[in-house]
Amino acid sequence: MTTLTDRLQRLAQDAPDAGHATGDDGLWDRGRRLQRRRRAVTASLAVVLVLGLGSLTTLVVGVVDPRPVAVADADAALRLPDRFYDPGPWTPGVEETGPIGPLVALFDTERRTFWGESSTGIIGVSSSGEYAFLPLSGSAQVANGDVRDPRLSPDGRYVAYAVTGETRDEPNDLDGPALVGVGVYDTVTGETSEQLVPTDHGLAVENVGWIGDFVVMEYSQYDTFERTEDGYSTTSVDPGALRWDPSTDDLADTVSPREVPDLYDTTPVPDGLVLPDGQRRFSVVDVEGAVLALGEVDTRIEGRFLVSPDGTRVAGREDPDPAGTFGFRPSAIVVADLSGPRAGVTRDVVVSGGEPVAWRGDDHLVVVADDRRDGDYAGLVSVDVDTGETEPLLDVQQGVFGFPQVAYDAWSAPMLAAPEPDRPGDPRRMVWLGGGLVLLLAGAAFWRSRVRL
Amino acid sequence: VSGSEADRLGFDEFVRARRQALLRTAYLLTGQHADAEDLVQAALIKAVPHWSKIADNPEPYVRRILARESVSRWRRRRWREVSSDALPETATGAPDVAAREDLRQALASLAPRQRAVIVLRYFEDLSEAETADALDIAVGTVKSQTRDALRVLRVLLPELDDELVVTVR
Repeated sequence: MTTLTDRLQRLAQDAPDAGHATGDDGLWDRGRRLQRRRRAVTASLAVVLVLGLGSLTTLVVGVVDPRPVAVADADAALRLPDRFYDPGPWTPGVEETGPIGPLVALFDTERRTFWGESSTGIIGVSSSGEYAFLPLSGSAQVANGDVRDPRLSPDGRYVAYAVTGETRDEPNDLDGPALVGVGVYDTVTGETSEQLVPTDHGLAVENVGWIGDFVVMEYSQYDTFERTEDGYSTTSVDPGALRWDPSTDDLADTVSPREVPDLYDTTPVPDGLVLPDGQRRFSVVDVEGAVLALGEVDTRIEGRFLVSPDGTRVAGREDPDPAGTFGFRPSAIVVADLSGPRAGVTRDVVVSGGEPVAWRGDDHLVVVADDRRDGDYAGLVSVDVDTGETEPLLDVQQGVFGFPQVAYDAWSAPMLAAPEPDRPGDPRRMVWLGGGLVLLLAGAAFWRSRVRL
Repeated sequence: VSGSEADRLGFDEFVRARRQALLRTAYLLTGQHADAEDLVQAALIKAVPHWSKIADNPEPYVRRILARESVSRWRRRRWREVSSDALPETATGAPDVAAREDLRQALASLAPRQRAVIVLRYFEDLSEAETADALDIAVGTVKSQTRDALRVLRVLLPELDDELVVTVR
């Protein structure tokens, strides 16, 4: 009996003859090429997998499980970097890096988030040249003058800033969220503490600043605030001041403003402030307003007086138009001794141009070398007030908004050859790259599945 | 002789010895000379990367690739099938040529997996479990595919009715 098996075997006799089949040679080599292709695809897939997992891990770790915050070295000695860099908008915040310790300087720059949001962030620069965004939660970022800018303590340990918050009645939010107090960020512990002032409509903050170890906020209360058909109506009364030492929590709230010096156009000295008193005279006061010293020079000074750390010299920028005739003449930077037979007698240390910024020690003056070149670049020089010798001190990379606010103590600190920060790239590139590779490989796999060997 | 060279020599020897047998199976799976040759080439090429592991007994592995490739290739070709005026190439001149052609066309009418099951079960003489392993399908699927395929073959080849008394292992 003929079975299906028999018929299949007979039909199989019609198969092509192996002796005449094409492609006898080269099968082994083609097989090896296939093997190499498969290995390459496997390696590519592994790379994609690693990239994808890396991107995902970065995201998840960054969003869900930020690194534990460690306490920084409180005794890290300040060092003045020879350059301030623009670290880029993707620089990590201290919530990721942990506290970076006492700050040499801080400045504004663009900060971006993974989801594409762009805002102005506050960057801190540590003594070792590390950069990190500061978590100034509740900080009044909508600046209306310098008053709302964060202020760095003289030793670089704390950052003080006006904070927004809840009011007892309708908030006066015409210039942004209502201000209700002052906050301080500790650069060593990473903790933030606040002193809030009970307020119905918010505070009109005049100044936030430091006098020695004390942070001072000068303010008035908005006692009325009404929205009308034409706009709004508001009045402010009850000027007050808050004086607070965050290191000891010594607090004096609502002290009389007469007990606190007006911070406008002042400059710091150790444990005090230099207040201009007209254009020729100035006074040095402590945190309670007590006068520690008085001084006078023989020429008119425009703006601020800078007293050397040892209190023996004063510097300033000579008024270029003392007669008020709107005439122009190059103004000099002048220096005078504060004691001895030539007390108050000024001499030129920079003949024309420039702006004095701070004392570096007792013999050198830090001066803005030139006006900003191309609108976003500034360099500082150090001028020996005895010899007039000038040497470059530091410069600022393009991209930094405004000149960094430098801690008072840092001006006299040793120099640091500042390392260039890593300037991290857009973390989304990894995701796009991973996604692109996945699509590429998926396309290649799809194509391969449609093509015979 | 290095390991790689030894593998190559072993592969060449296998191809020389078993290519004709593989072509017979491939011809039953495809029904076309050219496709049969392509199928055997593809199976041999795909065996090369694994040769060092299968060198002792390569035939089961190669036949497994052959069977699976015949199914997957047919699926891939469906969407790029082109029409042709030329008649398919067939062997001619044999005394029972009509019977063979009837069987070839009947096999061609089966779904590729059914055809593979029939070839493996009734030509290669594999058990249901071996057939399932070769095609990477369940034994139950082998049974149902066999049943369906035989039903079609009985209709297309009525003379097989009496002879389809096969022993199921």
